[in-house]
Amino acid sequence: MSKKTIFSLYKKEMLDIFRDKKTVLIMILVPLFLYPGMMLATMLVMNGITQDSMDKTYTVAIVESSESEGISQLLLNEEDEHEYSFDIKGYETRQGAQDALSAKEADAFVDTKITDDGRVCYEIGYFSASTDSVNAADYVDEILDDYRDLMRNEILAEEFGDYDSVLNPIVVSNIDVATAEESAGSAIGFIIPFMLITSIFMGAIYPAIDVTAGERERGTLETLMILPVKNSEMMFSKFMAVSTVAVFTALLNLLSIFCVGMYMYDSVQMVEDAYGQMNLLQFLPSVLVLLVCIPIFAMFLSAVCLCVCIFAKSFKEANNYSTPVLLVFMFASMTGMLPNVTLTPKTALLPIINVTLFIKSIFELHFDWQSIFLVFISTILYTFLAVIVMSKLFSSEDVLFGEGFRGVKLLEKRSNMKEKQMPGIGDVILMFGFMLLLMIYLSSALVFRLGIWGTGVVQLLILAVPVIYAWYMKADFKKLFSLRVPGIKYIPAGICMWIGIWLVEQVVLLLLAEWFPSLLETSESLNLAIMDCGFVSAFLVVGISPAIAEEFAFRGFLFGTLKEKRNPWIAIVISAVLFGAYHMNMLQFIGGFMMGIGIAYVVFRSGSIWVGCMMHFINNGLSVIFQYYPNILQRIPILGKESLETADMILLAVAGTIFIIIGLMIMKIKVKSKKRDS
Amino acid sequence: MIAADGLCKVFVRNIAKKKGMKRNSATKEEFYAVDHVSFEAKPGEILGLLGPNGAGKTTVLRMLGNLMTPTEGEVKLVDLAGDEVTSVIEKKQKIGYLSGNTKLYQRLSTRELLRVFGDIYGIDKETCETRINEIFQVLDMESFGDNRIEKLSTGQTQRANIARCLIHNPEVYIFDEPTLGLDIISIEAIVSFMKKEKEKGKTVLYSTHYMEEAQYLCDRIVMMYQGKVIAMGTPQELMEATNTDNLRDTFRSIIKEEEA
Repeated sequence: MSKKTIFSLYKKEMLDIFRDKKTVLIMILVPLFLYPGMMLATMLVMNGITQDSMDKTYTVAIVESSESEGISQLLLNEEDEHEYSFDIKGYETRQGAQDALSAKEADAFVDTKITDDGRVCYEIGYFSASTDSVNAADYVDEILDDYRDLMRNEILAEEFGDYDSVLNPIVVSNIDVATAEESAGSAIGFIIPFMLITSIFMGAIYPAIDVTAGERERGTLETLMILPVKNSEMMFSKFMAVSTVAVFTALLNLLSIFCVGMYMYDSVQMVEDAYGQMNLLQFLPSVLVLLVCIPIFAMFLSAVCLCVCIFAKSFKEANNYSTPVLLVFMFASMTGMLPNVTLTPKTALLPIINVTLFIKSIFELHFDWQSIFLVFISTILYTFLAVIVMSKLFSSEDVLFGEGFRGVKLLEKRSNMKEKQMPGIGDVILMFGFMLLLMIYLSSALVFRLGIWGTGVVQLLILAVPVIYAWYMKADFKKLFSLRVPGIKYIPAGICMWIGIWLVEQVVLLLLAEWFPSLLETSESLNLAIMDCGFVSAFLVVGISPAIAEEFAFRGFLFGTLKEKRNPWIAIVISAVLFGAYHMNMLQFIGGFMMGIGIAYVVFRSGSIWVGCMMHFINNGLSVIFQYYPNILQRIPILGKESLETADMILLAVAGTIFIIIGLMIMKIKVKSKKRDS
Repeated sequence: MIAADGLCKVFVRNIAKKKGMKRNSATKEEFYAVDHVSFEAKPGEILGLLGPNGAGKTTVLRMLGNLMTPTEGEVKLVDLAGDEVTSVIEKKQKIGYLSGNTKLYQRLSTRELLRVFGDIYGIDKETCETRINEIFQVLDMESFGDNRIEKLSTGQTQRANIARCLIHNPEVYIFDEPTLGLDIISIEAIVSFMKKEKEKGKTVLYSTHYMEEAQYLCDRIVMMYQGKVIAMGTPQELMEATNTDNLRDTFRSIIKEEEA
């Protein structure tokens, strides 16, 4: 990519974007006027309502009886102490008072009677559909409560003298150790992520649509493609232009939020009441960190917007696509409001959610630099990936000419599918993206709800989706999923390979655990779930179901497609990386990657997914068995030891390598007598 | 105007383009929108691509303009020294491409558009300004060159579009139906422009379905029908071969032959 070309294109994009009045209006007017306007209007209306309800005179209908005189007096006397006042109307019967309430002549009524044990009972009638009526009843209730307390205290004082120590033998009081800044920060941390993410999205989506679907619709894209520029340069310049607008909008929004906040801080008593005096300068580091981060978040959101819009052929279509994306963003930006969801090294890897939690944490004045660094790195990485994907997936030809985006077969009608076709790279990316989403958002929720069976449901989906996808596109099942009966020799070969890789994997993990202890925290929750549910279900769900589902997804759909499109070794490595990444933690990434390479190689050589299933089953099944019956592992020499010495590790690594070599050699054996194994 | 330095020959070798959708058919089959077409165009000639709608002219020109890659075959650009231009970027530098689908940025003026494009082509600012003024003079655009393109008439827009493909002084022009839907005056401006460029020794490839225009303008003609080349030669040769006195009849008789 040439910097000069990108810059020239970038200038062109910016000129074009800024010439569009709509973009500029959305970019400047919305943050500068709409937001503050809306917030101030809400405040004024809220104030008005409260003021109004306090100033009002409420009409109370009183059913006349021997006790009613007292209550009328009580209500009228209260007028001096409150801003509201009462207008008393007398009625002879309760029915009359009730009718007056229904006819809205009165806001509430009070009926008095004497209970069986001789107490006075006040019944307050109100009409719950009217705010005035509810307020009136509340005020009457308050007054009567005060009156009751007064009477009770008088009686108690008469009986006991110092009655307080009898009534409250112990005293309880709460002390909030959070400083005023911290509690205010926590409130700010709720609001800012939501407002910021939504507004950056709003800022980015319009130019994103304009430079992709808009250009296509207006026919300027073909003109652009005539120029001597590479696809990647074009995409990158568009990305830079959209990012610029998004950053600009974000900063404007922040400024506007800041100004409104200052105004509120200054003018509304409420803030001071709730949080006491505070030193706003304490938030300066948070604001500075936020300012540094905004460009990065804005770039990420821009990349996502572009990725979505580039699918669209017209402005309208792009708008349709953007709505669900906005909903996902809004939803994710509200996770900060959930209790006990905090920024940890794990949540720091979830897109959008990490940004939300990050903003929340810095305004709580809690700077966890390790997680903040992870948020940075992962966001940059996701952005980078998105830009690469969008410049790779869309060759200029696909973007330009009618055929649309052909990389994803799902977008075509089933009746148009060719029989026995194979998926493409686009399908692989879509499928893997789906599986990641499944793992990130659904898996933990399901495990939390259903325990170990949640994993079962996830596995079922992981099996079903590639299979249904393959059915929909009329794929060649046999070729895609390698559905062949394996040659006999692949069974011992597979077992040897598994033992070998497993041994080497143990050594690698042990070494890593020594060097980076924090890196390899196991997922305790899954282990607990495995132990909780009993051996049989754990064996079924963890031992058997992934051996089928994950094999069909990874060695079937993903590897099956990749091996047709790329050199087999590249296909093996890519599928193993994807398989590792899918496990979503460092420990299993390494294990998954190593096993992924071994299994994919055996599946490739044997042309049969069933050998892969077998290896995967041995791996997962044994891990369940070891967890339930740790003595079995302890009885194995070397492996059973509590801690391994260097010599043991070398021994294990050598043994593993020997097993791998044996496995490879078995696969090389030529079986002449039988006709299979081509 | 600046004289072209190393003029280019265009060789089209057996190119074919497969497309997914068959017209007038519900089922999706792959078919050749361009079915193994070969021809060449030399500097100093206007080569006309003739054929009805859907014959594959636009697809051929798009492959020439590097907007599409041929499924089979290749398009070669060879300079006078006999060296082939291989990189796509260099090819695009040498080609000026114009079609009904190359719309312009409506929010910019022609002058701004030319500046932006000149920048992307790597022309330095001063040269660019001189070229813009020259182009405005040649195409008679001084009166509207600074108006936003959205305000221009169809003929003016087309002239702006031609200005756009002139800015980098290309050696090969590819014009896809440049006169479609224009008034007589605009057509004359464009036709005389193509002739002038040809006289300068540039290669002009252009497609049309106006037979009279082609007869008068083209040095050689490639007739296409249903993705195939059905006839090739000078207008004179083609008319003689079919015993007709105008290209319109020539075309009719060749198609009749083809269908029989």
